[in-house]
Amino acid sequence: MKKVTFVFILLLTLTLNACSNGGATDDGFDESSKISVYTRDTSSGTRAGFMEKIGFEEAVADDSVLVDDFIIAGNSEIIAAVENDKYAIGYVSLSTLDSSLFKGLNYEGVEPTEANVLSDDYLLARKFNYMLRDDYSVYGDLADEYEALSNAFVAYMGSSEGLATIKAAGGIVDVTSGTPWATVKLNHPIVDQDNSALTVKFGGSDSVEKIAKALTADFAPKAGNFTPEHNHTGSSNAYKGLNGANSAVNDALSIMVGFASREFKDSEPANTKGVVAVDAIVIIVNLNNPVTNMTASAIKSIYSGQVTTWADFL
Amino acid sequence: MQAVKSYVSEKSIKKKNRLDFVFRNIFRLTAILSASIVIVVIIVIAVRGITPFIQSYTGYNNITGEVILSPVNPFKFLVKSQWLEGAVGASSDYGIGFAIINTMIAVFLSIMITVPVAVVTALLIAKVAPKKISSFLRTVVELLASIPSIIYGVIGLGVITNFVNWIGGLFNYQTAAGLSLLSTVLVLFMMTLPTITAVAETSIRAVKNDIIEGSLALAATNMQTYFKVVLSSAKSGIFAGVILGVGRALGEATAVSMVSGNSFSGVTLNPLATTSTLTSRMLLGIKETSGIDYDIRFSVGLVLMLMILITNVVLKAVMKKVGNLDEN
Repeated sequence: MKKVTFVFILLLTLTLNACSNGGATDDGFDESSKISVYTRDTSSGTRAGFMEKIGFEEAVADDSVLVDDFIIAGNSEIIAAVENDKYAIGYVSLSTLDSSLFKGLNYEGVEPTEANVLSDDYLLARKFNYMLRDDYSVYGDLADEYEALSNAFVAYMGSSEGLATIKAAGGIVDVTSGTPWATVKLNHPIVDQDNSALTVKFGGSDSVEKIAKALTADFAPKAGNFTPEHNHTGSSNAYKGLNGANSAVNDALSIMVGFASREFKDSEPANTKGVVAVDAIVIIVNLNNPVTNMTASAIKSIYSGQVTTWADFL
Repeated sequence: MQAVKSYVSEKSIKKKNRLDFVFRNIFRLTAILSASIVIVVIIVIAVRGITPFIQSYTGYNNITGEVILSPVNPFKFLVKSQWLEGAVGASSDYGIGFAIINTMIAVFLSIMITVPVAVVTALLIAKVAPKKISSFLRTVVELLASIPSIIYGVIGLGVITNFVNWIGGLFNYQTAAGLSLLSTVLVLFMMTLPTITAVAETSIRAVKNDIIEGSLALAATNMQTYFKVVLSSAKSGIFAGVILGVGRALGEATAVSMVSGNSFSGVTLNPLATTSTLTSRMLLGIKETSGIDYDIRFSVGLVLMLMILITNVVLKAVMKKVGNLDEN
């Protein structure tokens, strides 16, 4: 019993000793600390857009050119990591920026705001695109209904109500360019029918998921109460589920309206595609981090591992 | 006489024989079905897992366009210290040497801390605690064993990573928000503890009473009896529990992928640095890949299955040697 007590007290003293000597204070920022680099997965449209814009195309699909000890995480995980880790840096979609929890850096001197994105001053921006099916015949009798409903959805996205919904969900659009839905729906009689037996599948980029779900939640009651189903698994799956390898009606990934957070490639053709909204990518750091601005070459040097400590930026 | 005669008549014997035949074959069929499921799984994984080593895939690079990929070199695959050299989908230079070693390190460390705690807990439940507390603790342990692994992953993400981050602060080491080998080991500890405790408790309770009474009669104290006599007798049962725990730890994917940090390369010896296991490497990015990047995960699965097989064989051989206490 005595031995156990002695060992316990010894450990306690050591821990307390380490406590008083170790670490920076809670609000202090140690400049010599290593930068914790967070990035999205190689199939993410956000990563593709980010790497291409900063001039680091090799890193779009290649993890081995990145700095050592980088960490792969999703959008919300990067946010959680930056909130908790003082020395972390990452990039997220502007629509998920919350200035009370973490800090968004200026890019080339321009603040990440909607106005700057629409005026093309903020350069770290990408377009959210949509795509429709070419071939509805796989749906048999309901082929015409689904085609009409998908086209009505596209028209809705351009109406004032649709644009307002997109903006409320965080997409950047020019709300003044819309026409009222009451006018638009005259061209789409399908929305006046009872569509409660129809299930329309949406999919593609998970960066666009929030906007897509807001759009369907607002559009479904306006269009005969069809049932919207969302399965967002990545920008690459938009084309695949519509007109590509997964477009068969019984394929789990097959969809009717697909979204991508990047431009569609030449290998992804379709008859109907367009722009939903513009999204900006924001470089984020912890609130305690004194850095306020990043240039393309600076952020590339961080992600390529040329610069590894925060001292080089302060 | 009448009743016996009807019982023994030829017609009823034939009917019973027929029923017997039918049921026997139903049982045979179900046994074959269960066995074939295992065989089918092994065959599918083996076939898909061997494909990257013999087939030449067509890759696509966003800079150079289409490329023809050479088959993966099996020796390099097992030895390389980086997951992939080159762009995803445009390179066949995969390697999991580092993941194999990291998995073994993580499992070894977690077993090292789990077994003492499990054995002492089992001793407490089986011998020391009063009956009511012991049955309550037994129920708690059984409940813990049935908690799904994603819950452990979420606890790991919320609580354990913060704790490890704080520990990193004590040593002035900057962790990646707590994602580290230490978090992995702690999560594996939480998951394997109920398994090993339950089995150890059963085998401790099965120790014959006359051995215990004999030791006490020789003026040994309670503690001496428990640790030197009871545990030695329950050795083989405890070892069986350890084998189960190791199997669970090796195969754990969800919880580990959430707290390990999924490092890309390198063997991790520093407990506060990120690591990756075979399972977490398989899980990373699996939803959105295709082609060689998807099939290579079956190869990793094949390696994992081989590793589990080898571990089980080795541990069973050790158990035979160690647990050979005469039990009559």
